[in-house]
Amino acid sequence: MSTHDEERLSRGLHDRAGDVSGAPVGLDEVKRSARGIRRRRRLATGLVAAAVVAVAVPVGLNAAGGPDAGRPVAPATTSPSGAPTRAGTPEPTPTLPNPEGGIPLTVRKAPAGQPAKVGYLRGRTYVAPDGTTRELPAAYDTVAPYRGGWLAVQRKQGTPYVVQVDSSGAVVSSQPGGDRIVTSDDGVEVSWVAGGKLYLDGTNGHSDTPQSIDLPAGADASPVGFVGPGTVLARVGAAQPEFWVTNFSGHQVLQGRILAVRATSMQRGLLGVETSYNSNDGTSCWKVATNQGGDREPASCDWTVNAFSPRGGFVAGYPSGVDGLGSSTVALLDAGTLAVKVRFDRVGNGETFVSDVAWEDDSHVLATLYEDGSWHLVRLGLDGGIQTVDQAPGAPEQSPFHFAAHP
Amino acid sequence: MDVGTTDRDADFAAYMAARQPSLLRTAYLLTGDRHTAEDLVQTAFAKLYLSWDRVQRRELVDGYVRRILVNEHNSLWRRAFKRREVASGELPETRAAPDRPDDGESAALWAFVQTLPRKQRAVIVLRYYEDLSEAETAEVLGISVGTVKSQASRALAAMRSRVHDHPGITQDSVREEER
Repeated sequence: MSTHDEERLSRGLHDRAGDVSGAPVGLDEVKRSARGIRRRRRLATGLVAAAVVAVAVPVGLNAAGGPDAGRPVAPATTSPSGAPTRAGTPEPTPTLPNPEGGIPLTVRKAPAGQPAKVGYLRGRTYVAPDGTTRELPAAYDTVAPYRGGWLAVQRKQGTPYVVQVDSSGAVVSSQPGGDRIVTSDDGVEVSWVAGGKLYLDGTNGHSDTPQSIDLPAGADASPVGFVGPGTVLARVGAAQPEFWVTNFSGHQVLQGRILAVRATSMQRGLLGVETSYNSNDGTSCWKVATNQGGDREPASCDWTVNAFSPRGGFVAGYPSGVDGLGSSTVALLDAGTLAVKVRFDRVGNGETFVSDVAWEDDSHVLATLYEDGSWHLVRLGLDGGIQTVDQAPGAPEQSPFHFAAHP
Repeated sequence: MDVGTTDRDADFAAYMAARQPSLLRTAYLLTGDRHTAEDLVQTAFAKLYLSWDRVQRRELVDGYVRRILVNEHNSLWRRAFKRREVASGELPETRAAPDRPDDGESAALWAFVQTLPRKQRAVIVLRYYEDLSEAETAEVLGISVGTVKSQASRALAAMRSRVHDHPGITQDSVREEER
């Protein structure tokens, strides 16, 4: 092989491709294509699941040790509700395991529950835990009660801004910042990133000057969560982020293989850490970092670690290969083992998925669910129960529901 | 707290805008046809969109989307082959009509590239157009570095023989390699 030939070939290819241009592909077109791909994948998955059920149910086998270990076991019967759900066949009731073994993730036949115990956004409306509502100046990505008003994150042309809104609903300030606002377990401490600094207000606005530390110039940063009183874990950087733990008098950088941290537990000092990512199939591995040393830390390549329950005993997660539009399965896991306590699975092949979850108390998770062309706020229980809490219209790509920062 | 669809879409749209022209050129070199290249890029972006939340390390995205592009191209070829196999038993026509007038060595080189089996063509495009290393090319294509070396070496040897010595080469002479 000669360099001359390689150069000729390279030059020839560059000459040929140099002036190639085409009609620009827009995001809407890409999303439409993505929805089509998603539907085809679901159809294929449904057919495979049907084949598996057809074989496994009569024999009564249940594989142990996989991602489904510990989940409620489907009865080895062939009742109508045990058959794969197809168009024109009866839907299983919400209280029976569906053919894939989990609780049907659907609002059909789900009873209406009590109002949510955590605040959330429905479009521009803030719904407080006591059920009262308040119109905000804009549709924000998240809010946190602050100084009698709110701190909010608003996306402007892709850049997150941290906006302070006073009790009258007037915008007090707005500056580029992080895409999260986090609060401590007691709701008193609030942390956010704005103007190149990571802030901590330990008095929820009752002090004149919040504490802060400087971030590297131009760093894309955001708090992830509290890991102790006055101690915040923050993501610093986007492409190869560092994870800082700071008490605002200095900071330490977490060491080890950490691709992302999605969850923290303030009470138990736990982190939900992504440790690896497989670019071939899009799956990832996660662990619960206990920071205790010695003991083996719970890990899983089947489930993500999205959110810890308030006392840190449980985790809400999705299958590790979940795609970008949302997850058709939500699992509540034991944080000590990452074994499944209960899982909720989409019924049939419809466009049903969850875009976000937040623990409401130590037994219940709130989830933003898209089903039948509408968005729903639902309550999922460790006991397998499912209740409807709120509903709003919206395109599948754009949930109107966003959870407020909450303990 | 929801990271937000708007966050994802904004990030994704920015990435798409930045990489679309380059990916289209690569897709064109793989397919030899602008319309097929546009379809290929749109499908690759759609699949990337579905995976966007999982791609935590943005420096890996380019490799990932290239892999989608190549795999999707192979997949399209296989589907086309099956359809034609049922209909006529003939191999698919892979050479598109020239999109622009061309002559001389450049035309001969392009005609040669279009005769390459699609996997070898992908090696050539990634190595000598995308300027990927042998290891990076192997990673994108999911093959060994040795295979990349041998495929590239054979292509260069064929190019020397055919383009240098017989610039009027036609694709029919190497069509058998696709089998």
